[in-house]
Amino acid sequence: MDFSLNEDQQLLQTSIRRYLRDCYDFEARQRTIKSGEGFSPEYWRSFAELGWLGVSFAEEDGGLGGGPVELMMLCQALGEHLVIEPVLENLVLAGGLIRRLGSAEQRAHFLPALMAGSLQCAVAHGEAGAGVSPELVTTTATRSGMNYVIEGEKCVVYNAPNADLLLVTARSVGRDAERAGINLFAIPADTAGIRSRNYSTIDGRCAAELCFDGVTVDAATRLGREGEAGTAITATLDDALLAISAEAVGAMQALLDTTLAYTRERKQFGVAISSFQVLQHKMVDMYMALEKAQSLLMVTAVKLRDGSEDAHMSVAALKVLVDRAGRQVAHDAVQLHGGIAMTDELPVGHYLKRLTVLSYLLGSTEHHLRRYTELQAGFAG
Amino acid sequence: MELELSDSEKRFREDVRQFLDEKLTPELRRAGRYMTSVFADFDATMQWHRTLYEKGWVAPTWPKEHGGAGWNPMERNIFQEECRLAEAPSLLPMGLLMLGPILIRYGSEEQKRELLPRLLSGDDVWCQGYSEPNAGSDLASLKTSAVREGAQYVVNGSKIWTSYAHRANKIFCLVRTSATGKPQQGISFLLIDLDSPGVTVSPIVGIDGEVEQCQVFFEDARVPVGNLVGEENQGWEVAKYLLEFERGGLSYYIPIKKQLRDVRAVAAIQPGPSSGTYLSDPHFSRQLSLLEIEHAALEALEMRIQSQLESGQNPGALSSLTKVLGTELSQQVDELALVLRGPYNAVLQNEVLAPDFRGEVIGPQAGLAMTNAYLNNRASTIYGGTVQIQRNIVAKLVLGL
Repeated sequence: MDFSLNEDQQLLQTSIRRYLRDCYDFEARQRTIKSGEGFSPEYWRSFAELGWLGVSFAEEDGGLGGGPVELMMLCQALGEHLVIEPVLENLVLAGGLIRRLGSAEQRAHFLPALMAGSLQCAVAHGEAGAGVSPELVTTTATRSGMNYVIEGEKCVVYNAPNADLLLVTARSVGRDAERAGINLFAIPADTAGIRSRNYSTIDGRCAAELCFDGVTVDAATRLGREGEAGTAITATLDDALLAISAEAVGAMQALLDTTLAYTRERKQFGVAISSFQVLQHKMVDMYMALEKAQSLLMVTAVKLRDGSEDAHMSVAALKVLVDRAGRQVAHDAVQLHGGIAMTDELPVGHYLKRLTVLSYLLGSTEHHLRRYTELQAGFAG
Repeated sequence: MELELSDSEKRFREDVRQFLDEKLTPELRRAGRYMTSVFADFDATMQWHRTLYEKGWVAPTWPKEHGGAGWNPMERNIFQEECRLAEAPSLLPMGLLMLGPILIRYGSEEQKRELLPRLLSGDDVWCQGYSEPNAGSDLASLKTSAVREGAQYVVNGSKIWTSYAHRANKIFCLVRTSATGKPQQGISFLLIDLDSPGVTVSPIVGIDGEVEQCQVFFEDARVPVGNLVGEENQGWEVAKYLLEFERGGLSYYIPIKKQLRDVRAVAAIQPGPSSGTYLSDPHFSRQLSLLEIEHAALEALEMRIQSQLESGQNPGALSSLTKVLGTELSQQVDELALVLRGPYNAVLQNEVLAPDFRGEVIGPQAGLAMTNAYLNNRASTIYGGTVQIQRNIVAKLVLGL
């Protein structure tokens, strides 16, 4: 039983934390958001140069050869610093699908540019029913000669406004949330027939509603065999769930730190409010929530790495735990900061908004609770 | 990072399972199954104690040279988990987990020679005399006094919440030997024979209808000076040592794992709403899932602590969380278990839990003792430092508030 990081992992973690601590600025983040750009090209370039965009790719594809543990470390640090740059969308979601489904040629075509930071991707998978069923795909891909015609709507597609490349899931057979029959297409974002409605999100990013109105794409844009993308999608979503859970744990850590610091400084009735027992107990409860989440996060990362039988169940459990713990910590942080936490200028509210979004991303808490219950029944039975 | 048991750990687990298969009789298992408390039926407990003593496994946490099993933290954990899941009755902790380590660390050679073997064999049964009617959370304000008179201490006062004093033959006490200076600085650690003149044990009936706790009265009880452990007025330090030693002791996730399995098993057969079982009811199973998820997080946290202990680190901060998390979660599981008993929560049936019961159970057999356990376990967020005190400690020592 060993929860310690090895030397390489420690070095990676230290360098990620140092960069963000020294260089990632909340004020700069706010300016980026106000500009409507969606992310900062300068920071994106730095992330690429630091090798972060290659963390999960195999060494023979030019990556760092890291796995879930490395991903966890990176995303936890991103969450701690409220980083809005689309690492999740590019490295985890798009990158995860491309590396799992792409042929050697396709990987060689996309991954170097992605890792170099010159290719922006968005994964258009979630549809209107995604909260209840993140695996739901009703968008269709109908074979037509050497092409497919894609018909359907994708909702809340993060990073779509900035994307060069869209990874779109559409089914050729089957229905609803059936895993069989789903395809993945990697198509240019400016492909004819795609209508998009762009908007800003409450967590400082940008997303779009995408409408595929009889969009014709070359069959060569399909990654993997026809109708067989389902398994890779599930595995990629599991990675993404780990990543956003790690991000949430980082956010919780930052919220606890800032709340401790604030309550020590803030004086009312002649004393620091951190001396009040009720507030102390609230902060202890925040700390306990954080350490529970951190612990289950680490265990889940290792189970995913090792392909444990109960890895999926652990991911579902983690999402439920982190959703609830994250919101508890965020709301308590707001409460303990008092009035100023309700302003836009303090990071606390931004952590609350990101944690709220995360708890509904890639399936709501209730969805994952149902998923956990089903998996547990199958496991125990 | 590594979660899997090593090959030697797997072999160890196999050895433990084999031993339990051989030595856990149906009667002992029944006693373990119907534990409504951290304690099991006393006679079953002492029978199991002797069985383990014969194997050399009764004191996993003691060093080998004093009769301990010489296991590392992971092995102790594996043993604890296997025992609990196999429904072995728990052992009394007062001697094995509290006095034993204290004597090993602070006892005189004569005390070790005289007392440790009898503690190990179960010939001596110890209880703990710390709390008083007016000294609970504020333990340092204790007033039971020990006044030196020649070669004896004369003890006056009263201890309360002394578990199993009515079945024990000895008690270890924190007593006041000085009233000057800070309260903590006038406390001594004294061993007292419950048979001594002037010592009266008064059983207390709990809300679960059982006698587990007692009040012990000392009226001019005379205790040989040789029964002092450590130096006079060093008692508080001696008691605090235990808090350090307890880290890496019993895990909270283990009994809760058993608790959750029992709830799941009963829910799978107990008729629930909408003509299915409780387990097939989405509302019940949702609540069960939430508790299982909280449990998974607690287990992960305790594994992290284990990992730090094994690498020689002091998990300090993390271990102070587990009592709060463990006891509060355990109580939530108790609440869910009550759902399975419905109106039969009105019936305790303590007599059914006794090993020699030969009658008919009122209501369903499944989930028997869950109401008893719920009532008994209400104490867990109170004893050993209330969860409010624990939070004060974390706030001060961990968060620096």
